[in-house]
Amino acid sequence: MNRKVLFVCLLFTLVSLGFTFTVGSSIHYIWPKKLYEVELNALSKKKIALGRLLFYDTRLSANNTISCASCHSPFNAFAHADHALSHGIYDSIGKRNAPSLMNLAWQPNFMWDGAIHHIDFQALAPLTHPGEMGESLENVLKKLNGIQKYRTLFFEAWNDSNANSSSLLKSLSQFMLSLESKQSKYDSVARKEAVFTPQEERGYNLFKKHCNSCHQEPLFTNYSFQTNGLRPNKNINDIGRYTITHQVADSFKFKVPTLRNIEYSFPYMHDGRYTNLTEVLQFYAKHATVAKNGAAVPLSAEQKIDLQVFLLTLSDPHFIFNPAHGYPMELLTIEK
Amino acid sequence: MGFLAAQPMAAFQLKLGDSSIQLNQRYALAGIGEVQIKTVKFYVSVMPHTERAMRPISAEEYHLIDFAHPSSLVIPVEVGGSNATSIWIGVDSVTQVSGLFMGDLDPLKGMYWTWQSGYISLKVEGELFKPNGDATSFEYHLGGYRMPHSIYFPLHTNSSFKTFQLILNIEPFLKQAVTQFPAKVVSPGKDAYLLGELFAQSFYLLPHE
Repeated sequence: MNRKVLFVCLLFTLVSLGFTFTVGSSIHYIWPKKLYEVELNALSKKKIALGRLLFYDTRLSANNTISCASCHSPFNAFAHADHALSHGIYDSIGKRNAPSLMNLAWQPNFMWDGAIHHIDFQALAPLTHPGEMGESLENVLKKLNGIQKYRTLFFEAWNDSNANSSSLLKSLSQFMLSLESKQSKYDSVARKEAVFTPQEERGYNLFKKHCNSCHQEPLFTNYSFQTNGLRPNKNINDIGRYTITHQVADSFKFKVPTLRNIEYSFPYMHDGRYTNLTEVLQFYAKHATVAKNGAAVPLSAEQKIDLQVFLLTLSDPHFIFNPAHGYPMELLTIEK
Repeated sequence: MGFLAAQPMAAFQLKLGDSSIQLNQRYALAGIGEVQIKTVKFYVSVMPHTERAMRPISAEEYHLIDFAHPSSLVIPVEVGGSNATSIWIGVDSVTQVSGLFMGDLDPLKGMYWTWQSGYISLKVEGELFKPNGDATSFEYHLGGYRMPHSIYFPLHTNSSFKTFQLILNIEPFLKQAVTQFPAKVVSPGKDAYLLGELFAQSFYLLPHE
């Protein structure tokens, strides 16, 4: 009798473990090749460190008040939590919410509409936009070249104390490229270092059924441009990808964002209109046009919770709280 | 043994009809009024003719011709094994997506859009003065590398070892631009393409004395 009970318990345990282990083994965890040609701008500690200083330095804006980090905060997965629409110098409000920054070496283009096709040019857009940092490349270089500390750092990184377009923009690229996020619970499960809870697993199954045609693993985006049924904001009239391609089919299409660290990168959508994941899933359940038949994604209340629980497994505290990503104290010692 | 031939050069000159002109001076634009051109600058790539279809264009083979800077108006030309050189106006699509370059392709030259990736192939800016006293400024920043509106056109293929002049007679371009197009064309698209094509057709060759 005891043997029978023992056998049943053992069988039950094995089935349960097998059920959870099945999830880990079913994750197709293959990272694609990086698109950034690192050989043309080999990463170095000094260049990354310089790029980090520049990323946080408000000197790069016309009135010395806004840095890249003003809209790309490390504690928000380098997104912008304060406002639905990001703002720049003199409180000018933009049209979009700043997207999160991570795993950029895999990204084929940048901005919500894919306007920028190479990360080395990315910084030019906010640097010079009158509603963001409002500066000119010439003036930024003039400022930097007038500061002895920066001249030293540029020399140490690039063997030339005179900052130029290339050393400035590539330094920023290097820091941004160093922002890699691969240490979430999902990653651990994929590498068979951990297992999902049953609820996380249910959420993952829902994700695979309804979300991963666009939010493809392991980057949790396929970087395509899509409409998901969001009604345009009439006050902004942002036509998305059409601005770049002038193809009518691209009207109101925006880049599929990554879902990694989504716990930290609120608010959501290109215009930041949803403040939490509950609102997002409410939209997808009622108004979205993402299903194959152009309909919404029907989810029960329980399913929405399960899906959110899974999405939380994409949080990577190692990335969010990495001191190497945060404000560099050295910046405080650089003369005004 | 043979001798080393002198490096052939291409020299650019700006004309309005038959007359050489300077920037920032007023000239008659027949049938329309007077024009004062502030800016004419454009990219050309110069490489041996047979190599153009065979390999990427290097950054050093791009030159920014700027009539505000006389030193930019004379450029060396390479004939290569085919004894012919080709000059194209604009920046090709491979270079456009290949990242950051210095030299004449440095974004500091003011020929790179910041709001979206891509080089501005040519800029023509100025002011038109009509007989009734109206003055309108025009601004043509023509670029784009996506088909079908890529601003990248053949300018000339030369099979001579001698230095030559490429004359830009800007009159037909201006006459059409100021009468048939908006005063500002500053993004890629059909208007930019048509104007770019007009601009590229405005050049003719003079053998250099």
